[in-house]
Amino acid sequence: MPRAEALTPLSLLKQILLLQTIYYTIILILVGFSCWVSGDAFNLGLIFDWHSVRFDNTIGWTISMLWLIDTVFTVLAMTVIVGRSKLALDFTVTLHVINIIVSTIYTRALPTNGLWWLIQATSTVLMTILGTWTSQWRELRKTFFEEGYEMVSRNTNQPSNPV
Amino acid sequence: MYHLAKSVYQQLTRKEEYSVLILGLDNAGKTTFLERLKGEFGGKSLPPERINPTIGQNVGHVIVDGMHLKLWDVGGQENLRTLWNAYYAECHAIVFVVDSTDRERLEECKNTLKEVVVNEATEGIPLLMLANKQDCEDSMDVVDIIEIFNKIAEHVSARDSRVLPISAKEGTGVGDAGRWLAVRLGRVPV
Repeated sequence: MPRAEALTPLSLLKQILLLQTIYYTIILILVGFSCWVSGDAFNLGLIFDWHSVRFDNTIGWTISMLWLIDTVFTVLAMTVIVGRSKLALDFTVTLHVINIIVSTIYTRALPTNGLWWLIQATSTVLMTILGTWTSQWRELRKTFFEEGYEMVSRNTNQPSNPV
Repeated sequence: MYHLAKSVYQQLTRKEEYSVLILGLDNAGKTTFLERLKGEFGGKSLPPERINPTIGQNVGHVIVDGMHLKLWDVGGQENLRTLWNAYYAECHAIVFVVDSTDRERLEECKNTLKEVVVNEATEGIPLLMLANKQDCEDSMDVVDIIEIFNKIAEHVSARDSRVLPISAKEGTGVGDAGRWLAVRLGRVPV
């Protein structure tokens, strides 16, 4: 469990970058696998071009769903890497803002695709709720009160003079 | 991103702060010294006649020559001294205030100081001894006090230490004491 002193700029930046990498790695595997199974040609545009998220063809539908599956998997990564319920919202928003920027740069146009925005919003809400919940679970796990340790060892050497 | 920005901001605005622990028997003048020091370096301070015996602790912030000092003034009554142990690990310097007029309790004072300096947690920490109440006519000379505490000096020899005459009531020597701390603390890492 990261401790309070771990909240240095460098460690936060590392966590953000690591989470972003994992987020894209998972979608890469998911989309790559779907393309391989369905026999479609794979290109990076399927992931980073916001035109790919659409409901008028099968691959558009698939990619929309895969993004949400990616969100669920990333929650697991976030629980392991960050593991703090109070940071879940911050990390989720950061992840999606970076994704919006990456998509905009890749497509060279601001996303005007309503469906794409809907997926981003759903993903943000889903990741925040799930991330907060799983991190809380991790924080509240039994840690050191197992194995029948004595909670407090009472000090019997009290000062002889009463206060 | 919010926490990243916040931590960057905190890193940029962070100031190094040194903790100084003020110890000594009850009625030695620890709180009066702290209040006088606050007044001396541009803070608000309580006049000596309004200071009551300390139960628990007083905390004061003082900036001496651009150095931020956090002073912990803890109660000196016998049954409060057991609490001192809890402060040793966190402090960067110790000020030990001696009542120069209290000849009867000199032995107790010596034993108390000895207990402080032989504690493992205070090893290597600069120690400033203040011979307080020098304004009183029946006070002992600093030379005598240095002499008396020489026996303890064998434990202190390895570290920075100094005996300074002050009068916390009149305010003489308090500024020098503050500056001595600032100079010594400048040499140790936070």
